[in-house]
Amino acid sequence: MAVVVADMSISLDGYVTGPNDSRENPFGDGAGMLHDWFGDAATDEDRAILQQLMDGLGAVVMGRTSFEKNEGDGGWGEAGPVGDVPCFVVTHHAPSRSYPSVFTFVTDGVAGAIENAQQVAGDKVVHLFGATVMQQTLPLGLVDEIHVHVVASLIGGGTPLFGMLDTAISLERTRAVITPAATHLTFRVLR
Amino acid sequence: MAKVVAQAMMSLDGYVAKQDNTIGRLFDWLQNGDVAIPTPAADFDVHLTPEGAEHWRAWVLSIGALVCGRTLFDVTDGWNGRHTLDVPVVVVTHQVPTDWVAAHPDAPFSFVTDGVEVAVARARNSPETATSPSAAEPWPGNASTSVYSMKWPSTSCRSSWARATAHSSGSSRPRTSYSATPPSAGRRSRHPPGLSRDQVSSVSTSPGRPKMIKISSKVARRNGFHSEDHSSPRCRDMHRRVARIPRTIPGRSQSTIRTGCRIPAGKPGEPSR
Repeated sequence: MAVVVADMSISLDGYVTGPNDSRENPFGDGAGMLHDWFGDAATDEDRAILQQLMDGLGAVVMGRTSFEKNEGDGGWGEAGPVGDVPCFVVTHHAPSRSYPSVFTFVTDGVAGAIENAQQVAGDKVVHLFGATVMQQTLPLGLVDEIHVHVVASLIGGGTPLFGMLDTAISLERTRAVITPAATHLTFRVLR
Repeated sequence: MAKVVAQAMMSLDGYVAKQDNTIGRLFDWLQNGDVAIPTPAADFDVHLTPEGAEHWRAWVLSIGALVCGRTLFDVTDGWNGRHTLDVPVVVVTHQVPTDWVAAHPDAPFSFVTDGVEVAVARARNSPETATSPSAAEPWPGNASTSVYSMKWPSTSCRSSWARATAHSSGSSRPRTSYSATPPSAGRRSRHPPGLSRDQVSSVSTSPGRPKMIKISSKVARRNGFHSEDHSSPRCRDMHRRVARIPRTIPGRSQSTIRTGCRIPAGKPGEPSR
């Protein structure tokens, strides 16, 4: 079964966007540096990590917020977040208009979306896109791995990657790569 | 000047303690290796991996003083007066824990009620973090700064005894001056400055009891007087000197100095003269 991975760039204080994020300002205020590690500041090691991520991608699961922020004109255009990799959007209501076929809208909950994504991904990886989906699935035991790219910055507000948990979740760190641009940490979720 | 470092053992989601202030697995790494190292206070051994041991040794050596908040102080009960890393601790708090201070008279703990900036400055100026002896500054002399401090670690603190002699200048209020008379040979004495009449707000004398002189806290501090622990009728040795700012004690606005007992204020860590 396809491995389910949450893979996000975060500030040291754990934010994936700054405050006031919107379609016009997708990363929020003061958070532009979060993705420099695969942009302007990328070293060969960073690029290798990004390439490995892209090569292993079988399907994407995201929430409605991430979808609305990035789809269409000015965002992903006619494609999904990763070209034509199938993308499952968890939402309460199916959209009224049509969207590119790369998107499938799932209205019966996040577990169903992940199941669909795993079937499509085959022996590749299912990526959780955005904080909401990860916060929903982690307590359900549906996340296999957490990959964070920690950027040397304190944003101080915005969208936190992690939400509240009723009980602690143990992790096992399986990889740590330090580059000038980011600290890349890979964890396996222990169950 | 000493570098200020914020450090924490935290979970991936950024917590340093649970809701109930317990630490769960956060400190597990201190006991998951084979390299045994006693803590500086020798209260227990850590057992670290070789990499962890290298990190631990360098970290412990680098620390000269700690600044913490009242929550951590309360949760640990002030580490029974001696932090595991065996360094002075400056606690940021609204109210000084006077009972704890009385119970731990030798603890190298300071309590700052004027905010974290003052606390950090205090920690920077502790003898352990000062780059040179002259960099250690005396306690703030401003009466509005409430720094409640206990003795800094020092190998030579001596007490000096003074006996108050009141002599009348002919006016209705006695003019009081203090002269230092060592109670026994070998103790060094110090001549205190005289107090003028208007510095003494009241004098009370009960037969068979020491004369009680009330002076303001500002006068007390400037002249190196410290009110003694009111739970004991005796003066305390220099090793147990306590600087009280009466403003921190609810309802009290003045120091009560018992004649016959005076603990000179020196710079922290310096022997009295």
